[in-house]
Amino acid sequence: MKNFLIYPLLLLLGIFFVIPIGNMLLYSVYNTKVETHLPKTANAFKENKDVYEAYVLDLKDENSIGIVNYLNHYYSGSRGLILKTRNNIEQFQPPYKQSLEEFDERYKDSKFWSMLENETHAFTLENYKMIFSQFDSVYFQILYQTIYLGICITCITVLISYPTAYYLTTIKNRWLFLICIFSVLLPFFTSYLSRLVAWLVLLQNNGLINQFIEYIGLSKIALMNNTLGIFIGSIYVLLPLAILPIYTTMKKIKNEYYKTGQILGGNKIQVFRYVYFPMTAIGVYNAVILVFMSVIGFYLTPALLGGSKGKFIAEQIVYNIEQTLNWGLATALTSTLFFIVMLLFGVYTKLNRGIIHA
Amino acid sequence: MLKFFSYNVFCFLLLPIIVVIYMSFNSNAYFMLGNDLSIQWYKELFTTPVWISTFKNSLMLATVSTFFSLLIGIPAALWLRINSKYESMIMSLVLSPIIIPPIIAAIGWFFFYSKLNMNNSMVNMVLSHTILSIPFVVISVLTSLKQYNLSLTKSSLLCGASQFETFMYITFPQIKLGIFTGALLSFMNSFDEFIVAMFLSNHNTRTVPLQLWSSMRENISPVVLAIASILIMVSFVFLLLSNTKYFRGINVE
Repeated sequence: MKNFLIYPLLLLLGIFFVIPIGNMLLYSVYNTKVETHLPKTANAFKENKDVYEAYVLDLKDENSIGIVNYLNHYYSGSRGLILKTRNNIEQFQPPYKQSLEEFDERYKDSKFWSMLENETHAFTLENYKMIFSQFDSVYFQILYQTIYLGICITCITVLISYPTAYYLTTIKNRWLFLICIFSVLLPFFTSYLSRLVAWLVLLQNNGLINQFIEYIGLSKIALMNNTLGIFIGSIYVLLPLAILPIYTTMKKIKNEYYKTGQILGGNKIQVFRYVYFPMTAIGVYNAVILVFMSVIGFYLTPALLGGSKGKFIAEQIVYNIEQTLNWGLATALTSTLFFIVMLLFGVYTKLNRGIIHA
Repeated sequence: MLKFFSYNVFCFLLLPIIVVIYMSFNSNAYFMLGNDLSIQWYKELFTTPVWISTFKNSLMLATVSTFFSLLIGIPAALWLRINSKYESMIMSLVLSPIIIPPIIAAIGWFFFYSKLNMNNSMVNMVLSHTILSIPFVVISVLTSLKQYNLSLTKSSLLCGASQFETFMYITFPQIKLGIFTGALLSFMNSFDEFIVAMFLSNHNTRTVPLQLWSSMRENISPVVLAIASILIMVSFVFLLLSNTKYFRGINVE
């Protein structure tokens, strides 16, 4: 009854949220590059016709220029090879195989042709192979670095938040409490970019902090365009996100538990270790997951404070979409990020449900 | 010791905000301290056409998407209040747009809308921002509905009021604070959204965050600080307007 109330929401989320993400996931394993830019070659591979002839005919077409940058990712040097072939396209005569091989040695390399054939298949794991096959590839490094920095930032943020949230629970004075909680909430509700502008003004080479350092007679230090900048910016953005869930868990704990622990003979450390901390653990877990999930998707903070060399996966995704136009790879990176987040989201809901049942 | 540490954290959290507001009234163009106070950057901001047009775009986008998210979110919250056994299942779907990093949804929408040839208007951005705003509306309306006694609806219906009248005169007055909070949060979220706007906007539909970003990267002028402090003051006012206690309940959900 009254189900019509929920249908608009489900419809909207289904069509304009679930389908786009599903489409993106499919895009990462679906390859249309060769089919659009070298249609005759793709056809020849499928129907076992003369590939060399189709290849030469395709290159005569203006459309084929779109493929060169893409193929270069998979067979290094193929960009130069195809461009060179295109410039001398009129000199090729049948039999095309022989004439291509005479033109350039690399056409004898079966790797080039098998690469091309692989690329014509609709289903491909090539994008994922590029990320995961070599541990020293750029993309795997970026993924590793994102997770590594994410873990570091999360740890620092939560370690700072825990005592701060505890202090919030101990404030008795109402006005003092309001000012303190306000200083946590205001950044949380302030525009993200405004906060970044602030750090730009503070951290840049002639920024306020360096002006102060020079004023007291020390030499300037590089505070941004490096990992330090990312750390400062990210921790600033994430602190409220960690303080608030830890604070709510702590607020629910009654003082009596603590006193009981002490009466039973525990010293301060023991009471904290065996009584207080286990009760706040759920808040800490929630904070860790929330913070980590946001930090691995960061784009603005590292792009502004981390310098030109991309350190986070989101920067690499944007770079691949806008600069190199390698959309397949970009969607594969996005999908990888998506799966990591989904895993964490699952853990998060499981943890919270467990608490509700308990 | 603990006190000292915590006050440092609070100062760290407030410092950038104070710095931005202070520096936006500073007349020096290179962010040097010790100059006269002036409002020249605010004047420049309100006389630059590109800022005015992006402001208009952002306001329109945020207003329209907030309207639609209320239109869809409030009935959904009512439904979830009645059928609470599906709550956790539907809530994880509703929450997912704000839980998963926005870059994922942005890439998804980027391909989806270009396939549908919807890249030329603001419709795609309105749809996406509506989806990103719905969680805020559903959470805050549902939170205030939790305190609402469902038997009031029944008695109103028994007294002969129609469904619509019951909502308007019985339910709505009790949840209007929740609706207001939801609308506020979704407006602010939509006004501040960056990544999705970056992928979906064209040169006619650029929003304030995009313009802020490009002027931050190209030649950073204190005009950027002026707009940043306006945004900060807006959220300051919003935060004061709503009951802080109420906000806290929502964040933590």
